[in-house]
Amino acid sequence: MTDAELDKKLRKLLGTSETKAFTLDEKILSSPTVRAKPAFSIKKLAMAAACLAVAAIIALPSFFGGGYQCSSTIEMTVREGRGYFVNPWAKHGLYVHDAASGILERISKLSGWIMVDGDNLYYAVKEKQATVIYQINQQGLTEYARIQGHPVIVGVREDTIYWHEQYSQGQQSTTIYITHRQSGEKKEFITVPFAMFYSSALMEDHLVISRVSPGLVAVDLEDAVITVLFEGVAGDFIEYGNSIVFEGSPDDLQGRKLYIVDNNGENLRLLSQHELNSGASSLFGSKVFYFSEGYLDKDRNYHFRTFSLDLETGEQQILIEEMFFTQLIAGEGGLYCLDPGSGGTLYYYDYATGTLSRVVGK
Amino acid sequence: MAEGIQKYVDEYGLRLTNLCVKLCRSRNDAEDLYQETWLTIIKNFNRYDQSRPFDKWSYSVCVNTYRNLYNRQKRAPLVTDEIEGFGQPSVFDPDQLALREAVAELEEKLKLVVILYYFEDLSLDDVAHILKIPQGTAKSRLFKAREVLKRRIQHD
Repeated sequence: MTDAELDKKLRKLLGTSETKAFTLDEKILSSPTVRAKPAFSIKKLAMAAACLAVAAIIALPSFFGGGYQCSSTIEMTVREGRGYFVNPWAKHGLYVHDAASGILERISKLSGWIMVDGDNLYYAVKEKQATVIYQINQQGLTEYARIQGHPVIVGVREDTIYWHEQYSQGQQSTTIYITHRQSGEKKEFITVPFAMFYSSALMEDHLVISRVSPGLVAVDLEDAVITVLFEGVAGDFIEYGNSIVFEGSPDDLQGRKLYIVDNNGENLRLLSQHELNSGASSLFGSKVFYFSEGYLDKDRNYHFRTFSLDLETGEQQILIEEMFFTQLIAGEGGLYCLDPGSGGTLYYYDYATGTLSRVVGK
Repeated sequence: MAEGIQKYVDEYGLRLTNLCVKLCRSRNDAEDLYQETWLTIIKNFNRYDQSRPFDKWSYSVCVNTYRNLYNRQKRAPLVTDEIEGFGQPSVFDPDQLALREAVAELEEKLKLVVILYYFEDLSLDDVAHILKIPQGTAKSRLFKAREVLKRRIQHD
């Protein structure tokens, strides 16, 4: 097939096709300062066959029986020189990679998501009626707690699981519950006036939430006071002592950079010179690692660069050049890097030797 | 403010609707994205440079909003009332079906370039501007996307 033939087909497929615009909610037009997401009714619109054909593009690949496409992130964490991840290249299941030996082995057939509480690792898996939380240790997985239904787990701390219900459309606030792992007793913990968290995590004295607006907030676990740490848009974040390092931008119109702020909202400052690709940053020790595809050289050519930034000294170094990553996970001896291209590959960058090796993938 | 925005909604609403439908996984998500995009436009309207075409600026807002809202939905899938069988074309061309699948399976950064480039015949410069990437990067992604699509269709 020639480029011209493909062009013609793509224009036919993707050319405009809707016959009527969506109706804009009256509240949006009349109140420009509205922050909460307004509810709106879903209207059944008459669709032309072409519209349905175009809409079919957005269906999941598996709907059409398509092959595996690497997403921009995988479920992963690193502890003591071992990378734990849900392996999408092996039809999922929990795997562990020993960085020193290069050995990769499966420790569970189950697919779920990983949570961290200090040195403890947990693995939450959905069963039919409940979510089961396992503790990951040298022996493998042992059942730790069980919560009825399919909640969104925020964190685990001292035998208590913090969670909230799955979001419903039009939801304006979120109630966080706690369930003690032994008694199974469920209690309402706190209600925050936000919904649709981008990310949330328990830190020492706070529940920290990132979302589109306001970007980063901290909820005091003792008195439920809410402090806005950053007004703009915030994405991934990590705790660093009494501070939080996070990806942020002043608004939706600008790219994200790395910032740091104290957990009481003071001393906000910009860390990275370059815009980073959302999700592709990680902290280990006093170093932050991030990827940018907007590095401009002296001849004004753009390049892909993976950087390390020492938070103590301010020193920034280029670690990897011309490789495109959508996720970085830093550990003691090295950095795991996900390249989603061509089915995806997970790499390991060794700090000491500066070498990049393939862990798993295409 | 409401009056000033209304004329933009009247003129550009259909185009933004089309873009939202092409970007999103479901009709619900597309309507959601549409509302959030206009909300962002209204909040930032005083920063809109009127010498720039409004449609391109609004596409940029829409793509950024899409990335923020949907690109990395983690452990909180939205409970929705999705229309049963959404995505089933009632009449389809087998060639177009193969192409639809192939576009759907492109990695996100390539898919965005393809959708924007063939949607309303935007130029590569416009696509680069909307995605905030260098024009060379937009060009190379489009080239790569075409190669992947051709291989995929010919293989099928």
